[in-house]
Amino acid sequence: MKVNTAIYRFLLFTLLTALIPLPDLFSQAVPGKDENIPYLVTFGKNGETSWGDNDFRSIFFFTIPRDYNRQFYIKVFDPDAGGENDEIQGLWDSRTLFSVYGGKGVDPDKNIESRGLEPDDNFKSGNLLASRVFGNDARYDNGYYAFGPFNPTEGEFNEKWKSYIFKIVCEGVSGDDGNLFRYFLSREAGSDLPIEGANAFTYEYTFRMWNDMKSIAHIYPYVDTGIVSIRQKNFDWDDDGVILVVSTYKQGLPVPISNEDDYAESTIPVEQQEIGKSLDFQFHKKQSSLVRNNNVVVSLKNQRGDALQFFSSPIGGVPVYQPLTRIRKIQKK
Amino acid sequence: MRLCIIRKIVISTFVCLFLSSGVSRSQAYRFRNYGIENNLPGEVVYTLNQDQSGYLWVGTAEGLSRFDGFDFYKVQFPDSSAERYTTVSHKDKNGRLWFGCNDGTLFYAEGSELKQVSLSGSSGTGFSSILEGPDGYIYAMAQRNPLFRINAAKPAEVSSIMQESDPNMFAACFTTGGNLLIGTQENLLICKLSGDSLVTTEIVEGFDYSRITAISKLTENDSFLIGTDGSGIYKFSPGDGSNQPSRFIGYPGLEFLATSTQNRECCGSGSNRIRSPCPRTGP
Repeated sequence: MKVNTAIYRFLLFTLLTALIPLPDLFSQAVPGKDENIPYLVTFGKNGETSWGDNDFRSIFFFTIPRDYNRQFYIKVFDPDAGGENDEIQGLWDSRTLFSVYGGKGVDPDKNIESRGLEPDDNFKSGNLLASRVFGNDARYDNGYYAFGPFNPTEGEFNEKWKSYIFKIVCEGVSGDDGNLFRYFLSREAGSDLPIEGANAFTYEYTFRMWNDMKSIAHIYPYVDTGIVSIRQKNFDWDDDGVILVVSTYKQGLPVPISNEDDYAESTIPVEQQEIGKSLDFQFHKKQSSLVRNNNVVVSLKNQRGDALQFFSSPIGGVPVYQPLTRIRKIQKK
Repeated sequence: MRLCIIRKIVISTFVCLFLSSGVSRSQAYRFRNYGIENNLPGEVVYTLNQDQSGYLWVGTAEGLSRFDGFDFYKVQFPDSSAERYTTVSHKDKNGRLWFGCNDGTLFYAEGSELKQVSLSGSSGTGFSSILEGPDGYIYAMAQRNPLFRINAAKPAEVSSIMQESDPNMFAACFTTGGNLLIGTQENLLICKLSGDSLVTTEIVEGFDYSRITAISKLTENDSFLIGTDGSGIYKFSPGDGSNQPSRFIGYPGLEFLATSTQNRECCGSGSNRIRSPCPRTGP
């Protein structure tokens, strides 16, 4: 009887384990579910950088695995600048342009300017597949707009990731309001059906923090081979608590934090155990008083000056600190 | 006996329903689906055209093929580029087929083979439109500059035409007067060809910031149907003085516009629907 109960428990556990989806296989929400970030944010180009956006644009890349050959959509949640969720500055007068690119020139490994990190970069390379300008439009407030359908081969193939790369650019083309939005990659326009093996990444992460002191936001840069140190740069953190770096090797390394409208930079050494995995940049809000509507910008470069990618679904999973333990044999006297 | 009468009534009703359904079916179009199981190279079809011999040329995401009514035969590009696919096609007045591709290359059909048109200064962006000008030349338009003008009789004779503002160009159509309408990311440009340049004479706005995906000339006097991505269909008559497009009610998405053999406009949406004819404009 006891043996039967144990078998049943084992089978139940196995079944439940099998039903839990692996995060790196099934999530293409941007921000990702492990990131605990409510929205991406882009202000109109007439806004002030002190509001938390240093360049009034946001560039994300989506990877579609080669073996996926059906059409798909890139959905934007709350693409308009107005109504709920967004950040008003005076009147709702901002217009935001979302553009989806594919084809030659999109892959940021082959064309560095596609990353759009420098002000003069030609980040609009490739074939423009779809685009739309959004103002204060109640039709899309707190709702989705779906770009597509796209065929995977309309992207640019990347050999390293064995995936087709697509790019979505969000630009605040006029006004000064903050547009808060999210992306979702889906197999259908009307529902959120993820594509197995797909992912999303960016080189400069501009995002909004929750208005909750207990909330911790995470972003996950990928540490590629050959990296020995990382130069981190955060902008306009408003002195809102601490930023810690966690990895399998680092328990919580604090980094210098920025204040209002300024940058803070520092160099972080990379250990051999961290190569080929993700780091966890944690953003802990100040506990003494609530800083509301805090928007922050983060970017990383390696020792050669190449930018690191932040993946919405961390490569290798969410890193967890693993303390080094040594077993020493005690000699009997 | 009563049961027998009821049974007769029921049977007669079913027979009538069956016959009436047969009559209504005979008036409907019949469709047959072809897919990758029939050797079609890919599931996404970008362009279709029929050559003088009756072969149907099908440009899919996985390559170009010819259909003889029974089977699909894959057509090889001369340089066998793996990532290339055909985005647009055009049949000129002499019956020759032209194909523009996603990587900014251009081809024409000669029998069952493709010949490449040598283009210098291509932006590498995909072709969005191929059309025939009133001067008899073939105009091939990629998303970005330049616009190529090709001698249809001698395809090696190619000249480049630059659009001064270099917008993203998605659709084009000639007016009766020889002007070129170009659909861009958010508006319609009325352009005049002047030597090797394309001069914008007017910008038509009012498309709700939507990308113009198709322009088709109506049979009536110099009027056009303008298809947009997400904002429906508009009618535009440049000669009426107002230069304001009027929007048709409904129909939010549009992938193509075409004129059928009966000169009726057909509109295709992204949700697998074909409509004909297009509805009246809204107030």
